[in-house]
Amino acid sequence: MPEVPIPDLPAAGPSAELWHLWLPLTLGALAVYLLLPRPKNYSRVAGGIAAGAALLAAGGFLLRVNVVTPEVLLFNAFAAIAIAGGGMMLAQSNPVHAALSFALVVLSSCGLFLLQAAPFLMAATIIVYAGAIVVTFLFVIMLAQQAGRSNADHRSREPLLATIAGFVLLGAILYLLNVHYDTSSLDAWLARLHEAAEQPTIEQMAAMVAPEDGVLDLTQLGTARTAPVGFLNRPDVKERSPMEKWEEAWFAKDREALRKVLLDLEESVRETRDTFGSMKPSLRARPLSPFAGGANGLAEREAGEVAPGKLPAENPAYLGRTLFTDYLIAVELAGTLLLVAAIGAIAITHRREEETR
Amino acid sequence: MSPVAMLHNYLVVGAILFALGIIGFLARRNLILMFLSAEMMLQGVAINLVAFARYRGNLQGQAFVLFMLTVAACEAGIALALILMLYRNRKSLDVSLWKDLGEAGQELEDEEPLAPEAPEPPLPKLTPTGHEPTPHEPVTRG
Repeated sequence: MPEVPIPDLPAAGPSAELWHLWLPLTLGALAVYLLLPRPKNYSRVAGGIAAGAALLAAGGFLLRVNVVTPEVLLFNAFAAIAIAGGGMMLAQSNPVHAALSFALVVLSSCGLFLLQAAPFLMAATIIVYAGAIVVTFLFVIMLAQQAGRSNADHRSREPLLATIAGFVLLGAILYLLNVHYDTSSLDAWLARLHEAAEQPTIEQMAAMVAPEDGVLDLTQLGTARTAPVGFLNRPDVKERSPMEKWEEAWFAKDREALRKVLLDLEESVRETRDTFGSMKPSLRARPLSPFAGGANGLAEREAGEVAPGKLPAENPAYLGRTLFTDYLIAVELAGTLLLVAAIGAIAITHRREEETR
Repeated sequence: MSPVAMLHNYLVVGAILFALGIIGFLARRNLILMFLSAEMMLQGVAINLVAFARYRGNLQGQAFVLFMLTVAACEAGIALALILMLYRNRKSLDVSLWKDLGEAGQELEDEEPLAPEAPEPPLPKLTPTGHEPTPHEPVTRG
């Protein structure tokens, strides 16, 4: 059984301080509420200071950074510019300035794509989004609002409720991110099972995993949040549940059977941790074609290769091969969708000429 | 840094962009800016997908982002067509005009007056260079 390396997460589980989450969220909500456009704006300086403090707090508390490499510095720069551009898009009353801030968001998120080994996506997004969509919108604004700023652009609809709604959602997402990646209880259990299987006597085994009268206590596998419900009930795990087999072996005082039960349990817990806690694909998933890199790409790549093919020249080649083998139907449907959208756009805006009688 | 920590960082950035997009969609009154906020939500999701593609080491996430780009382009086309129709009807890009879908020509009530715009800077006064010759004056040199 291959040893899967346990990832080293810095201590940030559900028991980490909650104010790590509250502080950037409240600062951000305050900044956005102050900066949304109003007929008589709140002090822009105060909003800017709150926004800067929110960015710093988010960078310090929400991100997990423990080394300083060029990649991390670039990531921080691009992320900060993207979020600042998003905030500026909310705050600008002139619609042209807001559209240009959106172009800045797109450019910095393309920088993030480049850091994630996606050079083709970077180029495609810049061409399509920043090049076509934003320019089209600027044309529409130019044609529709020749005064530059209208009465409506200085006002916001329900700024307080919108801010609360957005930041409550953000808080929920960030909280779940912190909780969901915490496999520490599963890891601890794995280590304990492994050690117990090595013990020479039944009593020492029981001391480790079944301290109370030889009853295997599986509730230690963590709270309901970090351990999946019913993973032991999967039909393909084994014919009988580990509890029954443990009890049978316990009453028979059979050390080898007990050890086998522990090893089986360890294997199923390891597979659960791999598929549940660390987001690795299940080993039973249907694999993708070799052009896509396979479903277990990370396990197959030990040498630090992050994507199929040599970057950046081969990324479009592999992407093309993936699209036309694994996702062929989706490609055809996307083409049909583009055709229908073009026809629809023309059909919607076609001026119907009045019949002259 | 471990791959999981890097993945976590990218997911945080994606979530923040998504939330900012939601706030922009709910708070802005210009139809174009509402649509741009929706596009910003799509950018946040794209960052998520590409981060997972890097984490898993395959190209699933990147292929999905390509499809998302296609759908976003179609959506932009149709949305602009609809915005154009709405503009033709009311001659404004303000979304609150469509709040009640009532009769045409209704004005909004309870609008706080805008702050007066800053006056335009006065044109600079230049010294005159000389008088222009009238058509009947002979052109003198000197």
